[in-house]
Amino acid sequence: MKIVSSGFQPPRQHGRTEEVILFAVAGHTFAIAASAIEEIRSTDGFSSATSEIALRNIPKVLHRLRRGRKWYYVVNACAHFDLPVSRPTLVLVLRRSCVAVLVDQIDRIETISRLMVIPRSFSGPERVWYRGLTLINDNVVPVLNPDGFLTQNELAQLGALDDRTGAFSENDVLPLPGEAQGALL
Amino acid sequence: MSGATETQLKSHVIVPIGSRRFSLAADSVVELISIGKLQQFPHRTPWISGVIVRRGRVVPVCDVGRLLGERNDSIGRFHLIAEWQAGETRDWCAIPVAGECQLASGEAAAQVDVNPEDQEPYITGSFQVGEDRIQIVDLGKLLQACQSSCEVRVPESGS
Repeated sequence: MKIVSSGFQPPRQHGRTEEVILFAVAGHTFAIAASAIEEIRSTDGFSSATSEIALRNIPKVLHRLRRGRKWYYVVNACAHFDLPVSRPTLVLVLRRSCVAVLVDQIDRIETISRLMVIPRSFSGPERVWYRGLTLINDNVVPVLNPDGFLTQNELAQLGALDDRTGAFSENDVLPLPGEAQGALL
Repeated sequence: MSGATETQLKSHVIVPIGSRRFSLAADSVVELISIGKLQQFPHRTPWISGVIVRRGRVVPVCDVGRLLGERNDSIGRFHLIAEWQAGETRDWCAIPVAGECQLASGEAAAQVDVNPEDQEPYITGSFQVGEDRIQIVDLGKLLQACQSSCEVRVPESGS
């Protein structure tokens, strides 16, 4: 038995640090780049800014969220990660995306200096869900890929539904009063 | 059908998994450590039970017994950390073992099978220890075979 393998490949290291937001879903902690978040808002008053979506084969998306002139597909993180149902209290609105994510709570902002690639033994959709893994106080925390919440196929189905209903084009939506209520980062 | 055998002297680590013993090439074994803190995060790779942190690396804990079709009822007391070729890199995985691992050297003969189609691609040969003939497992081939047969499909990201 050798102590260190000759093929040792060190974890991927970035020369710079990155701020991430730690949040919880059903008891699991996740991280997402702070730069990927446009807004964090409470689910209070959620229903007044949303419309329902009924696509049986995408059960993790049950609502559209209106923010200004733009609509977002709201992904329930519990359903996305196959976690037990929890009570989400916050919505993460993703930047440069049409996705918002329901989460239980925000933990804190951390600065990470190392992002490790997901080991190749993992072969499921987690390879798309996560940009990588990081260690925070010796705890392994997956760092989310903001583009990993909905597949191209799912987006196409949701887009086709919008086209059929025809009610959610970007230009025919007026901003809601009190639209700026969420905690802007 | 083939009766050809290739012989070469190699060291192997013999690992009890389920009711059988398998061997891994010793140069693929990194170390044997006490069971570490198993950590979890959501994923859908069925043979991974969690991860441990070792030397700053995140190491998946793989239920190799399940992949080999063995029930592994014994409680793992150690993690055997082995590396495998994953594309152009070498990756680590931790295998829970009860403890009776053994380092042995000897002749490794290519497995001779009556019907070559019955050979599992990840069994690369067998190894004689006393009266036992122990199959040699190529961990990389085993994991890749399971990945290719696994129903979990990696979707294309979109948003």
